Amino acid sequence: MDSPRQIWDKCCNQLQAELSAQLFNTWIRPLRLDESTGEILRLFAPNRFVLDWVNDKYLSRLRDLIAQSGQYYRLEVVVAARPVAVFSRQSFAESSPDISPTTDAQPIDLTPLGLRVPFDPSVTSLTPIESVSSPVPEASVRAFSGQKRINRDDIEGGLQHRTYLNPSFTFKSFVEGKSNQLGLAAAIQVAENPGGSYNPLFIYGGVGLGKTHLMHAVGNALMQRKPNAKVVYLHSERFVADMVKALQLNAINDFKRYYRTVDALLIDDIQFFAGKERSQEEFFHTFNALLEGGQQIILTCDRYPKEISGLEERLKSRFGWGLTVAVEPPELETRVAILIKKAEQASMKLPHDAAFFIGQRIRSNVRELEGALKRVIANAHFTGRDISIDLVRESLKDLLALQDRLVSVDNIQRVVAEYYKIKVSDLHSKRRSRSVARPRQVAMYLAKDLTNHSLPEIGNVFGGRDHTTVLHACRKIKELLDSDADIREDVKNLLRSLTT
Amino acid sequence: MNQPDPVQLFLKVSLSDDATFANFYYHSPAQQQAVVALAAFARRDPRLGTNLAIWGASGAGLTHLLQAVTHAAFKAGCHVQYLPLRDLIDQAPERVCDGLEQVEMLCLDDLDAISGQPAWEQALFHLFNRRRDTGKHLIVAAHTPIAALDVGLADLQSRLLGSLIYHIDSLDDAGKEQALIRRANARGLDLPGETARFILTRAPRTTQDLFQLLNRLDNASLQHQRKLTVPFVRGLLGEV
Repeated sequence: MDSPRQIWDKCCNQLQAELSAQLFNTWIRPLRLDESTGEILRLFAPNRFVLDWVNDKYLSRLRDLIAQSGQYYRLEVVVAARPVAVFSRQSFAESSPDISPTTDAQPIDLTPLGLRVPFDPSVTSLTPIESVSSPVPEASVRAFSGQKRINRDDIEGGLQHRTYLNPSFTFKSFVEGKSNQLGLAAAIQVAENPGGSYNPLFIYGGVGLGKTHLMHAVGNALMQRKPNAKVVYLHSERFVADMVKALQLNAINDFKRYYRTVDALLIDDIQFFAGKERSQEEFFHTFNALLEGGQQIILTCDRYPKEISGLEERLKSRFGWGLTVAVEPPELETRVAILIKKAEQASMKLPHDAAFFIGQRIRSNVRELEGALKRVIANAHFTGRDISIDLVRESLKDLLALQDRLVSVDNIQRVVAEYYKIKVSDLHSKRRSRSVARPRQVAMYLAKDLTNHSLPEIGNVFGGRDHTTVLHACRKIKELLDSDADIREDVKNLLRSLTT
Repeated sequence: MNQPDPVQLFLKVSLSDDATFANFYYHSPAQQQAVVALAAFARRDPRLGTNLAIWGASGAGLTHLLQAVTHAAFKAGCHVQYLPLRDLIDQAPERVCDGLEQVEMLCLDDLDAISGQPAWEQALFHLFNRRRDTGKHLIVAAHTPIAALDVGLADLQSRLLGSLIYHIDSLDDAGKEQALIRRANARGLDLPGETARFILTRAPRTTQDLFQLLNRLDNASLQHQRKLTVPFVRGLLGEV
C-alpha cells in the first residue's frame, strides 16, 4: 500500500505533466504534505489565498488522482499555521482548533490562531532570531494537534516575550561618521542607561541609513548586559496586525499585558501607524504605560515626528519627550569605511581605490552601497579574481550606465531648475540676481561633483562661462554646506533626486 | 472502421521541456556569471545573501530563470513558490502576501506590474521585512532596471536596490539561432542551421515565441514524419 507521501508524489508528477510550469510552481509546488498523518492526505497551503485558489481550481482533480491510486485517503487542504501564537495559556485552551476529523476536503483554517510572533508561548527562551525560527512543518503539526511546548517556569503570567533582535546589528559593526555620530552617541547612552532621560529615543532619517541597525544595537547591548531582559523588536506593521488579531480573538487584554510588560520596546518605521486610528490609540496607552514604568522605548521613522501626517497630535508630541536624533546620508569617508568593514565581514579584501570608486558612485544610502558591494563580491567569488577597480566597473556596469544617464549635465540643470522653480534658460543666462545665481552655483557644484566633465566644459554648458566662474561656484557652495542649513538641505534633496 | 486521427498518435511522443538552468542559453561571460549566481542562490549559497533581483527586456528569459530557480530550489529540498504578479494584480495584495514569510524560496515575477501601486508596494515592503526577520530567500524579476523602477515607496525601492542585482541581456540573432538549435536538440530534433536562420527571418523574434514555434514544428515533424528542412518549415509557416 502506498503511503500518503508516495501518493502525493505521484499526484505531483501527474499535475506537472498536465499544467504549465508556471501554474504548477504557483499553486501546486507550495503545497506541503503533512507527514505526520497516516490515514489522511493533508496538504498545507502557505496562506488562505492559495488555499482558496487550490480548492476552486484543483481540488476535484486532486481527488481524482488520489482515487486513481486505488487507495482511500481523505484529502484535506488547510492553511499552514504560523508559529502558534496566543496571548495566554488560558486563551489558548479556549480557542484551540477543532482537531476532530473533518469531512473530505473541508478546509480547516488555522489562521485564527495564526498570530505571528511575538505572541509565541512555544518559545522557551529569549534568543536572537537565528536560533528561534522553527521549521513550518513542525510548527504546523504542533498547531494542528493542539500540543504545546511551554516551559511554565520561563513564562511569566502566560506570556513569553520574543526579541526578534538581529545579533549582527551591534555597536561594534556600526560604522561611525559625521552623519550618524549623534544617533550613535544617543543609542549608546540609552544602552547604558535604559529608561533614563532619553526616553523615548526617536531616530529618524531617510531609508537605508542605519536606523534599524542602531535600534538593534541598543537591544543587543541590553540583552548582553541582562540576558533575561524582555527586549522586543518589531516592525510597526506587526504591532498593527497583532492588535487586529487580538481584537478578533477578544484577547486585547492579553495584547496590552504583553506589550506593557517588556523592559524595552523597539518599534521600527512608525510612520506606518499613519491613518490607523485604533492602533494609534492602543499604542498611545502602551506608550504611556511604558514611560510611567520607566521602561525604554525606541522608535524609528523616516521623518521628524511633527512631519508625520495621519498621526495623532498627542502621539507626535509624546515622541518628542525624550531625545529625537537624525541620521543623515553618510559622507564619502564614511561610505568608504562602511564598504571596507562590510568586505572584511565577508572575508574579502577591498582595496582602498576600489572602495573609493564605489563610494563616489553610490551615494544615496548604506543599503544600496551594500547591494553594490554584494554584486562585486559575488563576481569576485565566481570569477576567482581579486577585487579591483576594473572588476568593480564590470560588476556595476549597468548601474553606472544608468547613473551616467541620470546625472548628465543636462539632467542636473533640468532637476535644479525644477527644484528652484526657475527655467533652465535662466541657468544659461547672464542674470545675476540671487534667485538665479545661487541655483546656478548649486547646479555647477553638482555637475562638478557628479560628472567627469572638466571645469571649462561645465562653464561652457552654463552659457559659455569661464572655468574660474565654475571654480568659484564650487568653492562657494562647499563653504555654504558648512554654514547654511537651507543650502545643505537643498543639495541633499537634489543629490537624492539625481542619484536614486 | 475509421482510421485514428493522426494527431492523436504523435502527442504522447512529443517531449515537453522544463525551464531549467541547463536549457537556458547564454551568450556572454557576464550572462554565464548571472546564471551561475542564480543557480547558487537556488541552493541558498550563504555568500549571496537572501535577496536577489534580475531585470531584462521582455523575452530575455526572466520567467525561464525564475522557473529554473524554483525547480532547482525544490530539488534542493526547499519549500518554494513562484508568483506571477502581473496575473495577480487584481487580487488584494495583503491576502496574496499573507504568510509568505514561511516559504523558504519565493520567486516574484513581473515586479513592474505592481510598481506605482501603493497598496501592493506596501504589502511587498512588509513582506520583505517579515522575510528579513525570518531569514528567507526572495528573488524578484522586472523588465525595467531595478534602479529605474517606478516605485513610490522609498523603503521598498531601497530594499530592492540592496539586493544582489543581475541584468539578463536579450539574445542577439546569432544567439537566438544557437538557442533554437540547442533547444531543438534537447527535444531530440535535428534543426539545421539553415532552417534556424530561415525561421529567424520569418517568425516572431522573441525567444518565447520562437520556442513556442519550435513546439509546433516538433509536433508537425512527428505528425508528418518529416525532417525540419527549409521547404517543410516554409510550408508550415504558410509561405508556399
